[in-house]
Amino acid sequence: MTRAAIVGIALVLLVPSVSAAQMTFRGFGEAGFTVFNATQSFKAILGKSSGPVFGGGVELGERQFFLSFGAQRFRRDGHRVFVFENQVFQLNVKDTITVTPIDLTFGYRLRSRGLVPYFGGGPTWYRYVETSEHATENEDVKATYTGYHLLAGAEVPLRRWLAAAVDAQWAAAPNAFGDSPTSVASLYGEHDLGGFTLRARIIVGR
Amino acid sequence: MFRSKTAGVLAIVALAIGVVAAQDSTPGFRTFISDRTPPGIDNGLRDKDAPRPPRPYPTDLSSRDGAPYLHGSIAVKFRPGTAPAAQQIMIGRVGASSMDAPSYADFNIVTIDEGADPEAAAAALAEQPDVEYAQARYLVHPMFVPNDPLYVQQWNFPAIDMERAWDLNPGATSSIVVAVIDSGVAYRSLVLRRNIPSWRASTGTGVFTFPALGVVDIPFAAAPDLAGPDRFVAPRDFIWNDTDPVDMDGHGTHVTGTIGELTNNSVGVAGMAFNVRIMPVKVIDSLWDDILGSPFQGTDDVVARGVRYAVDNGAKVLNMSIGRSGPPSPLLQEALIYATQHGAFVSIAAGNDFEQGNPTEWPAAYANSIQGVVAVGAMGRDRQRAYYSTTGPFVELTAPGGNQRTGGTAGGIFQQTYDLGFVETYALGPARYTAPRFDVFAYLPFQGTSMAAPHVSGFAALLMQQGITSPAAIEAAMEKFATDLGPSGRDDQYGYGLINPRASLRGMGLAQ
Repeated sequence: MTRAAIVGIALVLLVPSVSAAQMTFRGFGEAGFTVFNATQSFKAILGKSSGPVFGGGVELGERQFFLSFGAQRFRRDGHRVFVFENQVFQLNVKDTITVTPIDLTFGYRLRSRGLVPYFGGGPTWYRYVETSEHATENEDVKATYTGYHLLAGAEVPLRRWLAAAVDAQWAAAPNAFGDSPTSVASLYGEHDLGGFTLRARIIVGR
Repeated sequence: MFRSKTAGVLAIVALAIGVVAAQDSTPGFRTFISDRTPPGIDNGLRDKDAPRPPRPYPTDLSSRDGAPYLHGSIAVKFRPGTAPAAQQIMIGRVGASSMDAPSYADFNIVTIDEGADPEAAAAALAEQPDVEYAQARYLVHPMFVPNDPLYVQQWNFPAIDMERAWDLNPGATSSIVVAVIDSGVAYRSLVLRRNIPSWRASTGTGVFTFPALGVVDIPFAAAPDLAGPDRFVAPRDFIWNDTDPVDMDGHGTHVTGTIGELTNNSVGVAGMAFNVRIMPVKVIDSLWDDILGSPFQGTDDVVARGVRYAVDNGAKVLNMSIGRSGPPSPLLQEALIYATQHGAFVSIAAGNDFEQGNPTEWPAAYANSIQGVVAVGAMGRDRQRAYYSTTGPFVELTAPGGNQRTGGTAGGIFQQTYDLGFVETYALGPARYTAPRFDVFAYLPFQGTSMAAPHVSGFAALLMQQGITSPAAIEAAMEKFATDLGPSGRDDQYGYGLINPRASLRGMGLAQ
């Protein structure tokens, strides 16, 4: 188990020590835009190294500390390629990449009226699925990679049960993709599935 | 156009006085009396015939002396900017007086004395200060090894996983033109009226005189399982110097079948890239071309011009199931470079002379120094190097070429070509010798690196259709995904290994 996972579990154990009367439970939906760290690899297959993500999750906390559990989804169609002397030849074989990061975040909110800044971090588990036309079962990729993330943002209360937030998250999954000879990530030496994400949240709950 | 008889006489006279150049200014050397004949006769699969002895016809016309080059002329390339007067002085130093610049060439053909040694003359000319290179006009020949016909099935396509490769790319499209630089192709119907004179031929058992047959009509037809609407583009014959490169041997037609035989049509056999268009470019003379008095022969310079012609007329893949041993050929080397620089991929047979001392084969030996040109060795049904397949550092890939020594007749590569019984009529001997017919077809098993190279050409067409447009990248994609055979890594027997079209066509993903 990685250090990030251990930290996450420790945080979960800490939360019950907070008085139940002070606890809040909220749910959120989010939309954002991720730029992947494996820039060349994503660009080769998908034509660009970034794209929209959508997700949601739940948050448990008290006035300052919180623990959230969220998931996003990135999915985009591209083509398999051949790379020769840094030139990428797009092949007529459709390739679909789905990335589902699952974050466990321990965060801290600054005391403030109106705008409430917050920051946090924790482990991330990436579910990575890559499928292509005419592939056999063992040619498609279904793998889970472990990483971690840091985030910072600010929340604005809108109503008694409703708030909005914007944050920026940086994440890394440094041992992703493997070393297949048919992997452009391996060819480029890019083994990090993480990335930088800007996102907006709508939070419901109190 | 001259009538055929006149043209034939002119051709003979021209040859006699050693005039070998000025090919484009020369009128046609033959006249086809009709461009329509009945459809070709398909005799079907010939797997029950008695075994045929290897290539039973005479090995050469007695008019040739067995030299690997033409007498009476050499090829030369001067450095850019060399004044014509200086060129004349230099060729004068080797006893030559006239020089011609053929089309589709950046070199000249210099006429020398018939009795002079072309290699010595070329060497002397090459030492002149403004000469980039000079060489004899070496004869190039087809690469197939004759076979024993007992057809079983096209094992060659499953051996390279083609069924699954066709799922990814079903036979390319007509936007890809593949040039077959060979003995011609049975691509159209024609009737050639020609006087067949008496001729003498040498074999291993002596010299035979074949009687004159007089004026005969020789029918040609398109191979039924190869021809289709708009299938052929920009045909060119450098042996007869016209635009009717009909095959008088069967080699080029068989090779073309492996590249693009019509497939999934409920007829005959399949081909690799069955939707491509074919450019027949004839640069090799068969025995019948020689008997009928073709004005030119398959020399290096003729082949080089064929290569340049194909590229200039839109071919993106060139198949060269031809070659020769002997000294290198700078003009062929430059033609290959020209091809790749203009976006054409070239597949060349590595050679069939492993058991004849395994000499270096040209132009195959240029392959490993030119990205986008591949030399192809042959394997049998047992996935072992075929006994004849030449080895060397220039061998880059292996493809099915057949091995009937270990695999019997079924170990050959089957394609539709002429029923050779109607072509090799001289094999019956002078007493039963008749005029040939080039309109009767059968499915015959051949073996040779000639049969391996077109697998790679068809493969290249699929890759080009799939999106890899650079010849160098096509070669890299073939080599990267090849199935390693023999010693680990690249080796002189198999090169990078057996082609793996499906893997190459599938390419690379982000993670796998």
